[in-house]
Amino acid sequence: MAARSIIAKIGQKANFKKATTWGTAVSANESGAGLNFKNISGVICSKGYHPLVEVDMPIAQFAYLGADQPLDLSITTDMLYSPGALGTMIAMLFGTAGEPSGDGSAKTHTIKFASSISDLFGTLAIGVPGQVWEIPSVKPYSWSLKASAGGLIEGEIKAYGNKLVAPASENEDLEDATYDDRDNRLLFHQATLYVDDYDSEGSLTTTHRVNSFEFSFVRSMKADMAIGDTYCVEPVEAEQAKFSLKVGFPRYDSNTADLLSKMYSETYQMGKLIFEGATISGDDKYTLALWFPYMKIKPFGVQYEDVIKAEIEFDLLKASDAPEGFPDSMPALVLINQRTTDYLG
Amino acid sequence: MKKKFKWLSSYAVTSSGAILEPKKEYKVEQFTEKMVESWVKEGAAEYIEENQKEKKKKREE
Repeated sequence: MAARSIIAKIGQKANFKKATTWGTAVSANESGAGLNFKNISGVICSKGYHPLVEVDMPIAQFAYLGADQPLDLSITTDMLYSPGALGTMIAMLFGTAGEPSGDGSAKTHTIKFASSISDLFGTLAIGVPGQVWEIPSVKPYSWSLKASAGGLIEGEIKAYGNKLVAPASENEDLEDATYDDRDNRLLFHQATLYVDDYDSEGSLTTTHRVNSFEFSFVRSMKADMAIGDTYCVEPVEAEQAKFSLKVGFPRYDSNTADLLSKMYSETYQMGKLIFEGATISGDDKYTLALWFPYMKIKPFGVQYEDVIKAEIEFDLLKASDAPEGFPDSMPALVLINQRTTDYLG
Repeated sequence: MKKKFKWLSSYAVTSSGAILEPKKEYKVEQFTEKMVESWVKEGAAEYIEENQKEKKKKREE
């Protein structure tokens, strides 16, 4: 038995597994359910606390615990080419995955946007010393990927959970779960950013030497409480989904000046942020590619420092037609790794 | 007790860092019996029956 007097996260793990009924936990102690993460925040008991107030009570005599309010979770990771259970969360946010393609050991997973992501959620089981806690239903609502000036690429998933069950009722153990990978992380120097004028029959040729980027995808959701329930109903989309890409240019150069003129002329762009890692087999490499078929440059200026820099934000939109070679007319994610099964299977 | 199993699922890594490659055989003792039992139950692995020669050898021992 681990020492419960010291709540240490080091040595603890977490598993995530797709579930089918909102509010009902499933066992996440299975192969492929290991969640690669470096921090999880928001794992708290969120029951409302209601002390009774009446005018002839100078001090409260009664207090009540209310229903569980939705948990707002944040999971951070140094992103992997083979993200396993984390990939399942990302695919849930996009809404569409599927069986991968590829005959050899390298498998291509194409993850596309779906208008609605209802019924896509899973159970998160988290180890604490001597116990396992669980959140029966966790539904992702945002994903970001960012880096600046080298090193590892940090990913953050935000998700709503219905309640914390401590200790867990369905997940007593976490040790049988495996990860898809623990190595093969995305590195800054493995990235290439392409941005060109939108042309449904054109191709991507122009690379941009940026020194920071932040991709973000948010589905604003509403998690309401209903009478008689002790936790929220499954959250639903409350606004349009938003994709954006912010990039930092270390120098204001001809490339940046060109994008400035495209901003003024309101010329739509198309692009791709691609990371290529180690070889899987033959010419196939571990790959993560974010495809942006239709990009609008938001108004920007420059930072007038000793070395003049610029930060540009692209709003990532839906194109009327997917440019040639693009997986979709909306932003999409393509992963090449060794996973043989559907991320949403 | 079963001695060996074959990994049927995708390339995977355990918490302790052990790598499991598709269609490769592993000794149960490299992991825990409970762990392997769980993988077999969910279809991610299958036990390998010891062949007759190995059984005979074991009986003779």
